[in-house]
Amino acid sequence: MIDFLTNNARKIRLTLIIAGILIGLLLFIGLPVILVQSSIRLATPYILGALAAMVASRAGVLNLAIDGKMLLGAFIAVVVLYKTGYNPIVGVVAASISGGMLGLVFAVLYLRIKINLIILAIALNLFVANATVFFMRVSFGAFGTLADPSISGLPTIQLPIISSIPILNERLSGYNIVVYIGWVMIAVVWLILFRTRFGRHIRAVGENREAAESVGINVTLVQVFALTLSGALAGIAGSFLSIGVLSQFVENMTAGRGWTAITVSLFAFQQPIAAFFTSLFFGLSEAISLYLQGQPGINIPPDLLLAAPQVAALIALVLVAVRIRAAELLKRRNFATHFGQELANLKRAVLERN
Amino acid sequence: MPKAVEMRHIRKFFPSSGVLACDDVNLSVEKGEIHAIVGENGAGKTTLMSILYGLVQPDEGQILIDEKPVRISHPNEAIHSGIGMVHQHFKLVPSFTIAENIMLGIEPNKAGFINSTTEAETVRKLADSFGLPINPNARIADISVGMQQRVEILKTLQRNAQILILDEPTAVLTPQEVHELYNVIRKLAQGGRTILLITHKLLEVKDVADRVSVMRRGRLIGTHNVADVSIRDMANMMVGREVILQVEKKPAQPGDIVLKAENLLVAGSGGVPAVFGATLEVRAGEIVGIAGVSGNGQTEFIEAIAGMRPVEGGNISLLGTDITHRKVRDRRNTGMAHIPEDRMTMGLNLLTNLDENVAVTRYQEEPYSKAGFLQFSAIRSFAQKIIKDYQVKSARVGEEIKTLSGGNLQKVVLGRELDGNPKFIIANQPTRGLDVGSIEFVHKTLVEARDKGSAILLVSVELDEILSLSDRIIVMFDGRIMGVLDIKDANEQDIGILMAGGSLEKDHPAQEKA
Repeated sequence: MIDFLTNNARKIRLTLIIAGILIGLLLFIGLPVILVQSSIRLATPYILGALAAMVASRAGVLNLAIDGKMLLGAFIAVVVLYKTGYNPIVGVVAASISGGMLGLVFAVLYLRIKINLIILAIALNLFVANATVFFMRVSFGAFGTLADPSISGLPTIQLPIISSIPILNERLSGYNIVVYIGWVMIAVVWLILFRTRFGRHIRAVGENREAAESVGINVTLVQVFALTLSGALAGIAGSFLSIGVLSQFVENMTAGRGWTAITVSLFAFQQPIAAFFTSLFFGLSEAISLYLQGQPGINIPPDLLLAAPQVAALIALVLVAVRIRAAELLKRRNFATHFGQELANLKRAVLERN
Repeated sequence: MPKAVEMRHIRKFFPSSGVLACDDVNLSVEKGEIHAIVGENGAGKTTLMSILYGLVQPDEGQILIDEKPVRISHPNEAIHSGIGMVHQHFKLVPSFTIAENIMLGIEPNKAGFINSTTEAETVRKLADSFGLPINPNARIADISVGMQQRVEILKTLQRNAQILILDEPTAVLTPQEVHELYNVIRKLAQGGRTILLITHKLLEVKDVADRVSVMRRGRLIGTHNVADVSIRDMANMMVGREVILQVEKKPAQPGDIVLKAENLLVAGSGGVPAVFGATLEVRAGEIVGIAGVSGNGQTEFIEAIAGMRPVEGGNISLLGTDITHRKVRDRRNTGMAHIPEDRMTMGLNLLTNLDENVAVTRYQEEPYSKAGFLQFSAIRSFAQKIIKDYQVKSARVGEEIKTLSGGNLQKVVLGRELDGNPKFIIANQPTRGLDVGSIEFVHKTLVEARDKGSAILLVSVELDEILSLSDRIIVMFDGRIMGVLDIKDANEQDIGILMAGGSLEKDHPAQEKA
């Protein structure tokens, strides 16, 4: 079993990828249009949130404050648009800046003042959750929900060429700009991580900090930049929740999506492209769960469907751990066989000589 | 001959551990030579090189590179001065390719985007110009340890290092890889580069170095041409002739076999065996000492017997029970006690009090616990007994132990491990860093335990300690047992030869290892 898995790791991975693509295509074309559309929309905060988690993890910092940064982004986007009449794009930009600033604060508190990473993240998440409620009441007199006709939602965009192709048009075109920003960011983060100097330093710092230090890379600076970028991405994800859907801010509206985004990033092995498909999978199960709630006569508990991707992520993580352990066992067994044989040969040679 | 490196009156004291790592060290290295620095673990050679590379700041002293005084306060400045270091534990990123690792931090780029073709080409040219063929696109995780080391060397060369420090470079290499490394080192020296080789393998010095500096306890004992000194001379300089502490003991009365290890095979780092086919017997009422230069498998051998490292081949039996793959607790219940190498991290928990530290090996047994609840009165009286029996000064029941001196801490460990007359005792560096009084106490206590019938396995870097305590001595070299000597026939010279990998039949070191 161990031998089989280790020796055929490449083949197994390839088979799984091809199977995944086929199933994905089948679902993309075969599912009702409304389900595909809502999957893609629901996947957007996961895509951006997972990229945020990924950039931080790649730099060796487990960023558990994604949820707080998302929530801040969602709030700021609405605040900036409230009675200003600005273009909603300004809201997205403001959300990303605020997320980035919070990322910077997080980085300074963690790296300079050296606060415990987990406690810091929990504190930031709680702080944002309560601060948004506080300001909503004090500054806007709003309880629970901050909505106003002056807050315009993001307009939908018809993609050039694609909107004239049947099947693709209704499935790929006609989303708001943050959905497309998410898609572009997949490519951008991939390019940064794997094609630029900065990205390479991020990965070196995350994988072997000492190696990076020994060649004179400023580890702290790299981590500060990565955490700021991570915060900015989380902020954009947040803006989608508030002005990309209903043009309003609701108390604690991330509803744990920032945490799910971290799972997505882990599930995707910190790979941007894999994170894209994983997000779609999470989005799909959320969409199906919502869809079934609207269907009379179907009695599957919606929470069960919502839990499906989380369970899948758990299984995937267990399999990874098992595989690493199997590789270790195999290494030990090969060592024992190889040197055991060598030892036996040596003994025989000594016996023959005497 | 122009001097590449001169270090004058270097002194370094570590207040936290109270160790004077370098004591007025003067080192002078000529340009283009291969200069070995040898010494036991803790002799100060690594500290000296860390000072040269800017990782550690000296308290006093001066460094000259190419006969000009320099200040090196950070590795970047060392690199700038033309110094490169290949650390014992490689500093490579496993998922990166060879080229990516060599060019890390100095990537050829346009507006931040890396041109990986140019990068691979640069690395290939570099490798070819030094005759060190590599595949720039291979991943570090997929290549051998020897190849990884080559990448580390190329990394320093790409940064134009003229002085290369190699820290224990052969520790993780196979014999073939060692041979290749020698060729690389020689080639680099012929090309005018200066090589500083930190090692405690004397065979290696003979094979490859031009000159050798011997360090012992923070002092540089002397620098010699390798051609003029024998391995035995170097071993004597390294170990030194200290005042031998006399241990009063009667001849041993060995009884039945208590511990038996047969053909033990234990993995070291990097997939090389640390212990290769070691066989050993320890009988009741005798002390068997393991001598050897550190890093020759003693630590791994002991860890395998104590149950802290997996055994890949062979077997270990304690009082007739096969314990090869048993847990530490099972081994202890069978009758094993272990005085570990490092009392501060392995022997004791300095964050908690005396009671918990002495109870930790027996808290699950009556009377120290009943029905799952700890019995504090029983634990307290046990702690009190240890304070009294083992003369632990300034220790109080229920109080913290972190303020105790090294000698008193070791007495706490001794008390916990030796109370109840265990059948088998592992004593690993039992007197390291202790004052003379405490050393005597430890020695006396171990001899008493022997006379009460315990079988004791002793490991020490102090040859004197081995000679004065042991009834039999086994010598380890390169993971193998080179010889077993009865204390009556043992002398420092013979042990020195065996420690260096030599054989007592012929008076020169054995060349063939595998």
